[in-house]
Amino acid sequence: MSDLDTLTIAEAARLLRERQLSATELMAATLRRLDETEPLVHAYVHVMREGAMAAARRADQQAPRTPLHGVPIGIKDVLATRDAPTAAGSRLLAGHTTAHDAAVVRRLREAGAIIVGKHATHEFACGQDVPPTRNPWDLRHYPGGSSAGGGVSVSAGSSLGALGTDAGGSVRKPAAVTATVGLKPTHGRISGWGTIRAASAPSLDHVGTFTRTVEDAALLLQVLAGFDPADRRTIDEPVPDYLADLDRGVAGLRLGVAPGYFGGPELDPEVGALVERAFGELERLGARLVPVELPSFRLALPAGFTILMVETAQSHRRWLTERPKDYVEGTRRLLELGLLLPAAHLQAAHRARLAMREEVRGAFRDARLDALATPTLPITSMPLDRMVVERDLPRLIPYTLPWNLTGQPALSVPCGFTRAGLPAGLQVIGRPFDEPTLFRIGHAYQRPTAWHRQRPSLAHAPAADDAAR
Amino acid sequence: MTRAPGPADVARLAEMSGLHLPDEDLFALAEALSGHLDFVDPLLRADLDDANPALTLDPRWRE
Repeated sequence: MSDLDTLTIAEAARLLRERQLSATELMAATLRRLDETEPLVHAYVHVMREGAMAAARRADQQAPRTPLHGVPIGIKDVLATRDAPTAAGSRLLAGHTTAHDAAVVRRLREAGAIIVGKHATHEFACGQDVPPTRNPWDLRHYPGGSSAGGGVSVSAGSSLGALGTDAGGSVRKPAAVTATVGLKPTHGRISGWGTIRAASAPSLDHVGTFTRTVEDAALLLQVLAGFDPADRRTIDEPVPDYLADLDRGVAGLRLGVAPGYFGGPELDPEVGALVERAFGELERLGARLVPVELPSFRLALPAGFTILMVETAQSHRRWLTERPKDYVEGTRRLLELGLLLPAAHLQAAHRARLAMREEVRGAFRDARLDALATPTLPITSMPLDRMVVERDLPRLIPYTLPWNLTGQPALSVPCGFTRAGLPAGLQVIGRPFDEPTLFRIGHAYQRPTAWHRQRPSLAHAPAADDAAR
Repeated sequence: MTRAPGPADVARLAEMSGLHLPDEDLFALAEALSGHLDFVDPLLRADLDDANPALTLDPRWRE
C-alpha cells in the first residue's frame, strides 16, 4: 500500500490543485492497488482501465473545476454507465449496456470525477454475489450488502469514493463492517434515475456514498444533490453548502438515543461497548444525549420487509416465468414471495410506515432533537461460510431499515474494532434534508478519533479454491 | 394466521397472480411464505386505525 492509496478525496483534491500530484499518477496508483487487492477481495465486476487512464490524462490538461476533478470513483453495478455494462449482479442482465449514464454518474463526470469501474453487488441488490466479495478486515467475512464492492474498494484503497444504493441499509451496512463512511441522504435528495429498475424498491431506495471521511461524504453530496425532473421522487429543496458547518462541532447539540425498539437480535456486547464509547466521546465534545421512545419502530422490520419485497418483485414477473433458472435460487424465492404477499399486509405496512414517520417527527419536536444516534448494525460482520442471506438479513438491518421507511438522512461512521479486529459503525440520523447536521456530528467525532485512518491488512486469505468459489 | 399455507395454497395463489412456478419450488416457497406471514403478523395485530397509508398522491404538476 503506497501513500497515494490512503488519500482522502479532500487530500487528493488539494494535491491535484497545487500540482503536487497529477490525475494520471493518482489513477495509476489506484489501478495498481486494484490489481493488488482484487484477487483477494473481488470488489469490482468491471474495470474501465483504458477509459479511466485516458480520462485522467484529459483531466491533467484542464484546471480543476471541483474537488472531484481527477478523483477515481467506483460505481455500484446497478447504476447505468454508458461506457461499461450494467448487469446488477445477475445472469439475466449479463452484458447489458445502456447509451446513457445514471443521473448521478453524469453529475460525477460533469464535476471531473473519473469512473474506475463497476462494483460488485448482490443479484438485483437482494441476493448474494457469487463469487462472494470479501471483507478486507478478514477475508473470511461478509463485507455487508448489497453495495458490498463499494465499501470494500474504498476500504482497500482501490477507489477514493464509491456510489451505492440503499433500500434497507445496503450502503450503511457495508460501510460499518469495512470501516468506511456511508451516507444515505434524505429520500428525494439525490436522483435515482438510471438505477436498474429490477434492482430497486422505489419508495425505499436511495443512492448513497462510500468515503473514507465525513468531509469526503459532504464533498460528494455537494455534487450529487438536487432536483431532477427525470426522477419524480426528487424534491426541489435548495442545496446548501455542505462544508459550511463542518467545523462547528457538536457543543449544544441534542442527540436522541432510543434503545430497544428496533427488534432483531440482541446487540453484540462488543459492538454495544464500542457504540457506547462513541456516545461518550460525543458527550465529551459537548453533545447532550437525550433518551427518546419510539415504540412503533418495533414494526419497522415487518413493514420494511413487506414493502421491500413487494416493490422489488414487481418488475420480475416476466423473467420469473420465462427465465427462472437464471436467478440464484435464494433471490428467486425472495422475488416470488414478493408477488404472493396479501394486499392486506402491504396496506398494514404502509400504515405502520406513516405511524413511524409521525412518531419520530414528534420525538424530534418534543425533545428538541438535532439527531438520533444508534449502532449501524447490532453485530459486526459474519463469516461468509455461515452466512445465509435470506435467513440473516433481518439480523443485519434493524437499525438501518427504519430510516428508509421514514426517508430521513442517516450517516454511518467507523467507531472502533472488536478484539478480532472487525469494524463497528455509529449511525446518526437527522431531520429530512438536514445532512449538514449529520456531517457536523460525524466530522466532530472523526477529528479526535483515528478509526477512519486505520487500513485493513487483507489477512486470513482463504484457500485458493475457496476464494474462487 | 390460522393455518400455515401449503404447496397447494402457493400453487393457487401463484395461478391467481399470473405467476408460473415449477412444482419443485412449491414446497420451499410454502415454507418461506409461512415464515414470512409469521414474521409480519405483528403488523396485522398493531393498532394502526389512525394511520392512513403512507402512499399519497401529490397532484401538483411540476412542469
